Amino acid sequence: MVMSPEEIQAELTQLVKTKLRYDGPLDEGELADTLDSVQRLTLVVAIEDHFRICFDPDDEQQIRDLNDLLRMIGRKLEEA
Amino acid sequence: MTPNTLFAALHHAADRNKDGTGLRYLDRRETPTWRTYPDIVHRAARIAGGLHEAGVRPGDTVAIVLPTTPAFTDVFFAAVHLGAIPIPLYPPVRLGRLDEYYSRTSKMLQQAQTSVLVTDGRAGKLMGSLVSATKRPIRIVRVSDLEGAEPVPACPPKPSDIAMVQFSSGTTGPPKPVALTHEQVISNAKVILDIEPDDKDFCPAGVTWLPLYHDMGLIGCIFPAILYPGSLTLIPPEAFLADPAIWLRALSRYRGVISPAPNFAYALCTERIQDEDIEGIDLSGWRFALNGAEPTSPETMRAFSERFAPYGLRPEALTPVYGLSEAALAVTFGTSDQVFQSHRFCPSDLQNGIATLSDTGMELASVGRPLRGFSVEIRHDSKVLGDRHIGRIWAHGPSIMERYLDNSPPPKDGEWLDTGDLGFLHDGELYITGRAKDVLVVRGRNHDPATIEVAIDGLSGVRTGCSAAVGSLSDKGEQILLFVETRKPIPGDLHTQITTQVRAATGIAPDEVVLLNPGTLPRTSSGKIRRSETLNRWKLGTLEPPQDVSATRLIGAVAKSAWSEWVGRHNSRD
Repeated sequence: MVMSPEEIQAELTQLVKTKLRYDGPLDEGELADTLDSVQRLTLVVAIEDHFRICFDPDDEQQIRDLNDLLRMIGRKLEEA
Repeated sequence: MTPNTLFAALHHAADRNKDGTGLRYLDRRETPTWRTYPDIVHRAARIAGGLHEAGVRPGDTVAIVLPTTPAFTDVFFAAVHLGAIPIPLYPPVRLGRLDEYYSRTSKMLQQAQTSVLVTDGRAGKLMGSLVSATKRPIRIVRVSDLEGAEPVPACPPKPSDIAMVQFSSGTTGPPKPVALTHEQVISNAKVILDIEPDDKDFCPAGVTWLPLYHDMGLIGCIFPAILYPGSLTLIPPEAFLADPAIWLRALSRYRGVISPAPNFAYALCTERIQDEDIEGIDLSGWRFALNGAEPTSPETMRAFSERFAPYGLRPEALTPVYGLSEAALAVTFGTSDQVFQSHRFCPSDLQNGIATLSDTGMELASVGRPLRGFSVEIRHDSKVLGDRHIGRIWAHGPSIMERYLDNSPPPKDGEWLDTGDLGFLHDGELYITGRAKDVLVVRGRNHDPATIEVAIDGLSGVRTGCSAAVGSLSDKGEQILLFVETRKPIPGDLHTQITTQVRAATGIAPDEVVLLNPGTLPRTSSGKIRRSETLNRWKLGTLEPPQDVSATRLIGAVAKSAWSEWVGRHNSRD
C-alpha cells in the first residue's frame, strides 16, 4: 500500500489524539524529548496496528524525530 | 504434600494435569497460545539441554531478556530444571534512547555475575551492544538455538537453594540483586492463595498483563497459578498499554477471578476505554482486582469501580495490597469481601507524624492486614510506635529475603526487614504515607531521584547540584515534584526546559516543577540535600530561602560577636 506523506501525517495525527490523548506538537525536537516511555510504546504499537506494519529494533534506532517516523512508516508501507 | 520448590510445583501441576489448567499466552491480536503444565515440563527439559550445551551448570545465573510469550516460562523453568538461577531482566523500551538501557542493564548483568543471556530474535539484535557495555564475557543465546537440544536429566533444587534473582531499588537507589530461595517464593505464593475461598469446585483463573520481569507478574501471578494449579492468561504489557480494554476483555472471556495491577492501570482504563471496546463483557467473576506496586489512590479505585459497574464489576473487588521485592512480593492484603477501607487524615498532623482522623483531610486507603505468618511494626529509630503514629514500616515473615546476590548487607535488624516505606497502623490495618528511602515509583517502576536531578544540571538558570526530586502522595497517587534552585538570569521558559530535559533523560516527566531562590533547599551538615525535609517544608509552607543579610542584621551580628568576644576576654582575666 502506498500513501502520500500528507496522508500518513494526517492519520498519524489522528492516532496520536485518539490513542495517546495528546494534543501537543510532535514536531519540536526528538520524540524522546516530547513523549514519555509509556507514550512512545503506546504510539509505536498503535502505529503498527493501524498501518499494519512492523518495526524491528534496527528501524526504531533510526527514528529520532517526527520526520524520521513519517519516513519509516512510508518505507514500511511501500515494502508491505 | 505441598511442593516446596518451583521445580516440584511445576511437576506436581504437570502430574495432575487437570483439565483447563495451564498458561494461556495472548498476542496483540488476542490470539491464544496454550501451554499445559506437562508441555512446559517437556519444553523446559529440552531447552535445559541447550542451556547445558551453552555451559550453564547448577548454581549458575541465567539472564532472561524475553517478552511475554510462551518462551519466557519455557526458559525460566529450563534454568530451574538445571538447578540454575534465572534472572528476568526488562527488554529495551521501544522508540527509546538505548544509552540509558545499556547503562542500567549492564550494571545488573555485572552484579548478577551472569555468563549466559537468553533472548529472542527481536531483543537479540540489541543484546550485542548491551553485552559490550558489560565488563565480563557473556554468551548471548536465542531461544530458537536452544530448542533443538536433547533433554538433560533434571538437577532438582533444594528448598534452600536460590530460586531466582529480582532487582530491587533497595533502600538506597541503585538496583540490587535480591536472591530469593525456593522456599521463600513458594511460601509467598501460598499466602497469596489464602485469598481463594475454601471451595472444592472453585477454579481460580488469573489474568495478567504485568511484565514478567516484575515481581507482581512472576511471583504474584505465574507461581500461584502453578502452585494451585489453575489457569493464567498472560497479555503482553505493550498490548495493554496500546489498548487497555484487552485486559477487561480477557477477564470476561476467560472468567478471570484474580488480576493485580498498579494504580496507574486502573486510572488508564477509566480514562481510555470506550464502551464500544468492551461491548458485552461480564466482569462479575472478577473477585480480586488487586491494586499494588505503587501508592494506591482511593479516588482512582472509586472512579474505576463506578465506570465498570455496569459491566458487573463488584465494588468490593478493588483490593489494595502492599509488598516489596525484598519480601518476595506480598506483605499485606486488604479484605476482598467488602469495599476497600479509607479514611481522611489531617494533613498538618500527618506532616508531624500523627494520623488524626479528619472530615476534610487527605484520604488514604488501607492496604490491609499482614498475610499469614507476617508481622508489621512501625518504628522510629529502634522504638516501636503505637497506633496512628507514623514511622518506618518493618516487616517480618516467611519470605523476607536473606541476602543480596552480591553479598551487600540487607536492610535487616535480626529477622526484621526495613521496608524503607513510611506509614502507620490504624485498627490493625496498614496505611502508607510515603517513603523514607529516596526512590520514586512511577507506573510500578522505581527511579533513582539522582538521575532526574543530574539531568537538569547544565541548564541555563539552574544551580548545578541544587535540585531535589521527591515523590509526594496525593489523592491521585504519587506525584513527582522537582524542586530546583535557580540562578540569574532565569530564562522565561525554564519550567518547560526542565520538564523536557528530565523526560529525555529518564522517560518520565515531573508533575510539578518548583523554582526556588538559591539556598532554599534544606541540607545536611555535610551539604547533602534533604529530599524528604524539602517536601515536608513545602507542604507546611515553610520552604523559604535564608533571610537576606540586611545592613541592620549585619550590624546586630557584628555587635553580638564583639560582645561575646569582650565577655570571653573579660572572663579569662578573672
